[in-house]
Parts: sequence; structure tokens; C-alpha cells
Amino acid sequence: MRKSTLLSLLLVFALLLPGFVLAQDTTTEEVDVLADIIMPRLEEYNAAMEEAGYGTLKLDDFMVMLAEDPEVVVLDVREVAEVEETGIIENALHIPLRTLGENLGLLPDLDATIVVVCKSGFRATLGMTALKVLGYDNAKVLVGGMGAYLAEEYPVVEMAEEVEAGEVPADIDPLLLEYVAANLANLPEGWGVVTPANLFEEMFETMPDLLLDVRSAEEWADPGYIEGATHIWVNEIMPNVAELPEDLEANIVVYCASGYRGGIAMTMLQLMGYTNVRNLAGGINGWIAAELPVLKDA
Amino acid sequence: MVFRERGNKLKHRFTGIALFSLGALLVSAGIGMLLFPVTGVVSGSPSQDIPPFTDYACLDCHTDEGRLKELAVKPEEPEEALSSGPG
Amino acid sequence: MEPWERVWIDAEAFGEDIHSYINCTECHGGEAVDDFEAAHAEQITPVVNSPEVCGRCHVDNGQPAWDSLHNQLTGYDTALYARSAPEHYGTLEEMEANHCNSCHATCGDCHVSQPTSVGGGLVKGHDFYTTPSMSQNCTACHGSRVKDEYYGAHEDISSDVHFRARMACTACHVADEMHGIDMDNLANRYDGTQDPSCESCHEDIQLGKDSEIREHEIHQPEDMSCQVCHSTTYINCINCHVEQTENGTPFFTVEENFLGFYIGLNPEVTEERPYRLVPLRHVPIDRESFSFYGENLLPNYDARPTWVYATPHNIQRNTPQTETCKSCHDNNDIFLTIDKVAEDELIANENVIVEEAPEW
Repeated sequence: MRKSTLLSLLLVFALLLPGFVLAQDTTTEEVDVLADIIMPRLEEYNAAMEEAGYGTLKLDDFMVMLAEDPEVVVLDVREVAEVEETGIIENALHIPLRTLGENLGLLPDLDATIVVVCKSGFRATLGMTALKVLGYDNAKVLVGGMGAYLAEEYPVVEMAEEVEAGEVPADIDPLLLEYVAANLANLPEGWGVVTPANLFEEMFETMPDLLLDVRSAEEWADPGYIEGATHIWVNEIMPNVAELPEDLEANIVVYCASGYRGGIAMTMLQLMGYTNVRNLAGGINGWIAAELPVLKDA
Repeated sequence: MVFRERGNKLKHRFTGIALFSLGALLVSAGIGMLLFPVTGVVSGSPSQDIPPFTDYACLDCHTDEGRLKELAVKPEEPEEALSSGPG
Repeated sequence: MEPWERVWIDAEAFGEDIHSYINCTECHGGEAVDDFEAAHAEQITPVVNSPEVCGRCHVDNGQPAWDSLHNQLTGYDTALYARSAPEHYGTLEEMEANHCNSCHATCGDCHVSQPTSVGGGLVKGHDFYTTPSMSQNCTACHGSRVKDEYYGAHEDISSDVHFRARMACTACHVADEMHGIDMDNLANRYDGTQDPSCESCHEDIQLGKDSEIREHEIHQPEDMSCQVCHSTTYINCINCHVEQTENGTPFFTVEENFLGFYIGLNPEVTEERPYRLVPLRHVPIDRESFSFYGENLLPNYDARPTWVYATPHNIQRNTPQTETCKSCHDNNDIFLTIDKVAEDELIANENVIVEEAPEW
């Protein structure tokens, strides 16, 4: 009796199990996060770029903003050790970039003005772009980061204040958030920076699969471009996704004039699933400053 | 449109506000006079005679970005463009 | 700001504003009709008459704001008329009507749009705001001196310590001062009470009192203003001339400007400002500043100094003056001594020139 009961139970399980597995498979097939959520959101973000601007904020304007508007949120995304070394802007939130997605509860509402800062502006651009994709339309990046801020001897305090986490804004799609958070958490060691000298050296051996220039057509014409580059203006990346490599592991290097639009483009490509994207530090300005060659169309 | 829709609501709201304010004013003035008797008038009171809103024609145009872009003209050379040195 | 943006009303924002219940024509004039020409046939100006328009509801502020230095620009009249003579006042008024009209600050210049002097333009889609914006209102007029000094725009000169502490203009210059409340008949901005004064906030470090700051204990309040030690290099201007183009557009030319810091004698020692020494700034008045409008319009040019009382907005805790005692004592370079004053301006400035630096 017992044996037969056990056997029939096992039989029932064996029959049901594939059903469960299949049922779960169909659920994941129903929502393709990348195609159904990420890509449309990136298209929306990209289309609004012309009117909304890129979100770069110069130090002088940042200081005026701080004096004028006590509601401005300063978000420092540097690592803990960096903040300990230099101090932090008073009343700033401190959330290291890789943990930003998990800590949105610390930020105010979607319409708040949030200025993201890091050491030079490179990482903050990635953080700002991620926030904008999530719907924080007034996210900005401090150009030159804490490096520029500290060079002017503007004041800092030793550590960030403890802030109690609130609710994540209800308007953010949980699947979008989960995806973006994972993307930030998996940012590569070195953040995807490539210096002009290193890129130039690399290019002797192997050209990137895509060297993407995201500046405007006028900038491509003058001061020129890096040999082998493909031109897609950052504002028009989404209408031109067909020009991007099929292979998500392709070696992609992005550049703009100074690095900010490159950072925006890099984050967009990473969110599309590309796993090997880097951004030229200092952009073509840094490249030219390092006396490396540029081409100009006649 | 926003302005037109609220037109009718407004009349009632204004009456409500006015009645409530009048009540509050009388009560507080009474208490105030008991507590702090004063001999002179310190300042005037706001004018109450605001006529109903009718200038929708102005708003229809000035809230319409497209029409303004068509109609607005660049001002002639401003003074600061001709002047030189710190002002 | 694009021309259309200057006159664009944000229906959503302005719809929430109590002022949207008032008819447009009530404040602006014109005709509320759906035809551009007809609607604008009457000259539509920004609201300038504060007592009769804004003052109808804002009874406490309308009239004082209208009478205030901010609107009347009395300081300019004080300085110009003292250097002129009654027979030229009419000509000077004509000049002022051409060159100074857009400088009179109306209610709207601070609370709804950028000032007329920078071309106007609604700041928040006609939504009114209580606190003026430092960047779009205050510094639109107070630009080349206050703004550049406060923001630290001059190369190698730091921004003001208060700017660094995130203080906008309104942190010190509060509503009563801006609206001229209880500030009747002031001749200029250094007339009447000093409100705010540095001591309003920095109560426990006043000169001549026990403060544990040696330099503050040694020097007395009558000796100097705070800025003598705590402000630094600022801009000075020379020779401003006003003119009009052939088609009557007024413009000005400031021939020269330079950065410097000079301590001189207080031109007007009063109970409120008892200091013997203050920083002096060169103003761009010249005997010929208004010669486009007539000859010798400033016959009493020497009646007032051209190096005037200054409160530069670039306050620092540490300045070149605070480095050592000898930064000022025995150091003629930092004082407005006779060699630094133009020959033609010696008489005008005779009361502010320092003979030599105090001995150490």
C-alpha cells in the first residue's frame, strides 16, 4: 500500500514537472525585457535628447545652482575609499555607482534635480544616463567632477550623512529597474575607460570592431575624426541600431569631443546588451592633445 | 483651455473663498481688537474688485508655442550689443 | 532666450498661479482679441507701475518698492546732480531717459521675468515667484561687479566665501531691504542703516571686542570696514561715455577697466559707517561722459570723488591683507596714495587719498 502510494505520487510529480518547467518558460518568453522594455525606453530617451540636452553641468553653473536651490540633490557615485580620501560635498548622497540601481529608494522623486558627481565626470555620466533611462529626467552630470570642484577649493565635509531609504518611485517599471541595476552592478573593472595613448597602441594590432564617433556632423568635419571611425550622432543612435554589430561581444570603442556624449552612448550600448564597450577618455580633444592623428574629409 | 474649463468652477470657488475669508476676517479682527487695541491704521487692504476673467484670446495665443514661434520677431539690435566694457 | 520663449505662458504652471485670475489687459493693456495687430495695437509694456498695479493687492510692498532705490535709482541722481548744476538737470534727465530707463527695477523684473535691461523674458512661463533667482534676476543687472566677484569669474580670484557656502543673494538681501521698507529718502545705497551688516551674522567677532581673534581685538570699529581685510581684488572702470547711433539707439563705451584693491579714506564717515578706512572703487565717470548731450554738463565734477566707497562681493577669510601685519602697515602699494590717482582727478579725490600707509 505504502509503496504503491509513493509510486503514484512520484508518477504524478513526473507528469507535472515538465508542465511546470514549460509554464515558466512561457512566462519568460512573454516578456522579452530587452525588446519590449529596454529598447523602447532607449528610443524614447534618445528621441528626447535634442530638446532635453545631454545633462552636462559646468562647475560654475553647479555652484550657482547649489546657492539658489536648496532642493538640488548631489549624488556622489565614487567608491567608499575615494570619498574617505577627499571628503564629500555637504548634504550629498553617497551611492557607489555599481550599487546605484539597488539604492534608488535613497533618491527623491523622478522630477528632482539630481547632479551626479564622480572624480572626473566619466562614471557620473554613466550614472546620469542610467538615471535618465529610468525616468529621472532632470539628472545631470558635473563636468570635471570632484577634481574640478576640489581644484577650486570648494568646501567638503568628511562624510556623507546617513539617509533613510524611502520607496522606489512607483512609475519605474520593476523589470526596467532590475535590468538597469544589473547592468550597473556588472560595470567592468576600470569602468570602460580607454586612454588615447592605449587606444592608439591597440589600433596598431587590431582595430576595434566598431570605433563609433557620436559627435555632430559639424564636429566630424572639423576638427576631423579618427581613422576607421563610423559616424552616428549620439542623438540618432536608436534610429541607426542596424549599423551596430550583430555580435554582442564585439569590441566597441565610442568617442565624442570630451567624453560626456561618449559616456551616454556607451551606457546606451551596454543597456542594449553589448558587453565589450569602452569610451575614449577625454574624447577626441584628449586624442588631439596627445598629438595623435586625425583625418579630415576634403 | 485650462483656463476656460475652470471658468465656471471659479465663480463658486471665489464665492466660497470670499465668504470664508470674510468670516475668518471678522472673527480674527474681533479677537485682535480685544487683545491689541490700536489707534491708527497700519496699512491698506487689498483691492477686492477683480472682474471675471475674459481675456482668453491673449492666453490662447501666448500658451501656444507654435503660434508664438511664427509670430515672435527678433528684437532689433539691442543696446548691449553696441556697448562695450563692463556695464 | 528665444523671442517666443520670452512671452510664452506655461498654461500648467501659470494656471496654478493666483495672478492668472486677473485679466491680462488689466496689467498689460492692449486688446484681448484674436488678431495680432489689433491685440498689440496699443503699446503693451511689462507692468511698471507698481503702486497702482501690483500695489492694489500687495499693499505693503507696492508703494515702498516704487519709491525704493531699486526702482528710482536715486543713487545715480545723487552722484550726477552733485557734479552738475541746476541748468543742466533737464539735459541730464533726457540722457537718463535714454540710457537708464531699462535699469529701473519693477516688481516683475524680480518676480516674474528677467529684467528689462537684459531684454526681459518670462522666467517660469509667467508663474510668479517670491524669491528672485540669483542667476536670472539679481545678477542680470548686478553683473560685471557683483556677479563676477561673487561667482569668482575673474581669473585666479576665488569666489566669495558666502557663495561657496551656497548662499544666494537673498540670503543677505532680504525682502524688506529690496522693497525699501522703512528706508525712506535714501540718497544712495550707503545711506541709512547697514542692513544687512557683517555683524548681523558674525556677532561674536566684532572689531574692538573680546573675540579671541587678535587682529579683531587690536583694530577698532572706527578704524576700518570689514572689507578692508576680507575682500580682495575687484574690478574698477574708467571713462564711460554714452552716445546714440544714427537711428537713435543708445549705447555706452567704458574705455578701460582694471583689477585692483585699494584702501582709502571713507568719503563719508557717518554713525552707521564710522570707518576711517574702506576699500575704494574707481567709478567710470569722466568730465566728458555725457558730452554727446551737451557741453560741460558736469561743471562740478570735482564735487565728489571718483574713487568711491565700495563693498566688493568677494569676501574671503584669508586675503593678501590678512597674511601679515606688514601686508598693510608700511605698505603703500595697497593704499590709494596720490601717485595712483589721475592728475585730473586729484581735487575730486582729495578727501579719500591716503598720505601714506600706517606705520608698523
